[in-house]
Amino acid sequence: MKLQGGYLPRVPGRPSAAVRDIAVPERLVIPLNRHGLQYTPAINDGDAVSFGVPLAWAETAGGRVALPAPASGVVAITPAGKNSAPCMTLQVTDAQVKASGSKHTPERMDPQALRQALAAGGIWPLIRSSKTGGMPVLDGSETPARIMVSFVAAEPFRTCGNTVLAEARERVLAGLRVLPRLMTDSGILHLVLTDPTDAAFQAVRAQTAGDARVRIEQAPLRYPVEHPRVLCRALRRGDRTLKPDDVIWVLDVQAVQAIGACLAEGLPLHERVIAVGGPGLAAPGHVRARIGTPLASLLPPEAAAGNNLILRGGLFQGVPVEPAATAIDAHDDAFFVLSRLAEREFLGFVTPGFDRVSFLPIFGTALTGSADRHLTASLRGERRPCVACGLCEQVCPMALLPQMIHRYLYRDALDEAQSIGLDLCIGCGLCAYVCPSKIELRQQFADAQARLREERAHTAAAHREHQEQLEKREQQRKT
Amino acid sequence: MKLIKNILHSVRPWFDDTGRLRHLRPVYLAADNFFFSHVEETTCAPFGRDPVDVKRYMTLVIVALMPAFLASLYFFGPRVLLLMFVSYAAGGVVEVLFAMVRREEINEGFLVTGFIFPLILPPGTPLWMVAAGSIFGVLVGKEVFGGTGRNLFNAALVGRCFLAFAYPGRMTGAWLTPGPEKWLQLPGSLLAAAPDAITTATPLGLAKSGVMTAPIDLFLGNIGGCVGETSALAILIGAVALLLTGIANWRTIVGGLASLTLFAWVLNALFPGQVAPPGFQLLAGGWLFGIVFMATDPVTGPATLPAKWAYGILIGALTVLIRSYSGFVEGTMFAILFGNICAPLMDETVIRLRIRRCAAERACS
Repeated sequence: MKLQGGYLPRVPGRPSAAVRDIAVPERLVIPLNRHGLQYTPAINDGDAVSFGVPLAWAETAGGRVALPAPASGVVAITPAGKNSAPCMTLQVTDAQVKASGSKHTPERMDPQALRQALAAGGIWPLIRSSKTGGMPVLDGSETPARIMVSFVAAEPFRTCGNTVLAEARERVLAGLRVLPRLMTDSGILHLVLTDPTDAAFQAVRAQTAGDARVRIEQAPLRYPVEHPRVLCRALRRGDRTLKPDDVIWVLDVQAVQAIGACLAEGLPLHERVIAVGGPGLAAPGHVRARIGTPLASLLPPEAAAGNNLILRGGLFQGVPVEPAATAIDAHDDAFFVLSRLAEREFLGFVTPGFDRVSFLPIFGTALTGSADRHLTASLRGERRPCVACGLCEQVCPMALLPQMIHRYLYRDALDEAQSIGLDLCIGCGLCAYVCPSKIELRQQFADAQARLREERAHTAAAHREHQEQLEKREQQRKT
Repeated sequence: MKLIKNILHSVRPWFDDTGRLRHLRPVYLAADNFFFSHVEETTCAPFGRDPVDVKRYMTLVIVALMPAFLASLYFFGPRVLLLMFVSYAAGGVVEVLFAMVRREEINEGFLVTGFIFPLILPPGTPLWMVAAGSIFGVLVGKEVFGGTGRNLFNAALVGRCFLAFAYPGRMTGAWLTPGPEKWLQLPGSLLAAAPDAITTATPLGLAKSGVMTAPIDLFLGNIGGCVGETSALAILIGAVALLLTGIANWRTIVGGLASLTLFAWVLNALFPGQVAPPGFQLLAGGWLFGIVFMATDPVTGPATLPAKWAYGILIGALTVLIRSYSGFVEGTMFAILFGNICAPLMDETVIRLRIRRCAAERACS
């Protein structure tokens, strides 16, 4: 599988492979609006729930998706405030995990039953469809021609498939057995990883050997190879038999593991394996935490101190969060800790640079291969106008021309920017990362995409109104 | 280091919004950020950034220019230092004035322009002409268009072009014989531009009258010519440095070299009397310096990677044609300026092709 552009810097703070269990805290916090879905509570304030019972449901076009209780306890519902979204707090009485749904024999279930089981287990939102750009439609109207399971998580430092596989091999294998049933008859399951000969992957290879419906794809270890749109694009470019309207689903290994646990053991989605890493941590590592665990429980106390910036996500796409106000949710798999402190170096621009890593081989680390010990939440340069160096174009995974899109947006030429691919931008942030002039390309493109969507919605609404008026006039003329 | 820090800290109030020197704030900021790296927090994703910045980028260009600069000091003596000083001072005044009026920071691009400008002048150029050319180059070549990052033409070449057209006689008479003995003639050699300085002709000029210079001289630089362009060896060392670090785009250089070689070879085979052979064309005159240091200037070349090939190819072809079929002895300067004009058109072509590709990709995303 070929990837255009992309880049993976050597960053310190890689989490150690062993996964540590975090004790279930007394209180779990579960927000009710997340990732585009709005959940309405299915129980009342003050009710007691047991593990796995749906706390809330989200109504979608094809059906409804559950939010299962990650532990047994008493629920308190906080309605939406001025600045906050509605959320549920669960006072935990019993942290034990018990199979709540009936154990299924996945091999005997039909696709509709499979979908319902996954929706009731809260796992359906973890699947990403190329048709909707988010969760697939539940009613079965979109059957994928391909399903891709990504074992790669190149962004520093997300939980990668091999870690999950090492921890929960049987569940992952069970999940992989189920996936082909959700595809079309000629569908193919693609397993994407960087090293198919890896010993950790042995069991999967043994299970899938000889299965014509499973293909193993080798991908380069460069961010953002794991991004669903990049994977779909690479698949389409590599396989011309795919038709433009064929649907592709993308999942990561944690989702597959959750599917296996749900269908084979009757467990709903209740925990996540999260990589907590970055240069701001003394002992980066992986943790397994119950959904709803406050972030403060995952971080060592000194990490949450004032001088650190804590990002939900990895280095490139992470957004800053306050540990006191954040809890783990179903989509989390990484927290990245960066120090905010940066010193003013004397004649910094002539440093030989054995402590910093750049996309261009302009520092000493190009010879030594060491990591970027100087990485902080700092711009690392001054803001300048675009010098058309072309680094953004070299690094863009969607083969766009970020420097030209920037020039168009600088003049507010939104239509021209759209024509050369503004809507194709996936927001990976690599262009802004490598820009020597420190231009906020990712933010500029995201803002412009939002404005475009607004304009489109506005135009569509105006168009509809106009159509209705025309029809009304037609009616009036007839009568 | 502590001393500089203390000085900068103590003069800072003069440049604040109410200080008496507030209009000179860009100069203070330039000095402050020169000595101590600027620190600013990231406010949006990605929150970590690559350590490459424009200062480092420009510094590496100057490092790559060092071999040519040192070779020029060897061949043309300490006068080169004086040319450099005048170029920086004169251009710097314009740069600072515009920064003050626009209330923007002084950009690092000027450091490279000021360094390159004397390297493309004949060593005997009178100092007032160096100042005039530098001012014109920075003013008309860069600031009028909006400053660094927005100029259409290479600022140093605009200054050189101005001098070539405004003072043609004085420019052709300013070639000096190379030789390290100039260092022994201090301080007299500093101001040598007087008629009693030893002048010589350049290899390209000699070629027009049929005299071909030995290749070894062309390679090492023991010839007449502009200050920085004589030593092909020094320029090649710089080229390797630029290419290995990725600062200069290899597409422009490879395209230019290939196109010049091809055109010179074909035309030399057809018209040996008018067109010099490719080996000579590559080493003589300002070609190597131009294609390595001036054509690779990212701002004035095309912004898109595929267009950089076309840009290099155009410059190579035009250099051969102007050298052989026009009244001018050296064609590189005009070829690059013409390339600068065509660069947006090349970018536009790449964009048109991309629009089609994007439409196809949207259909199947």
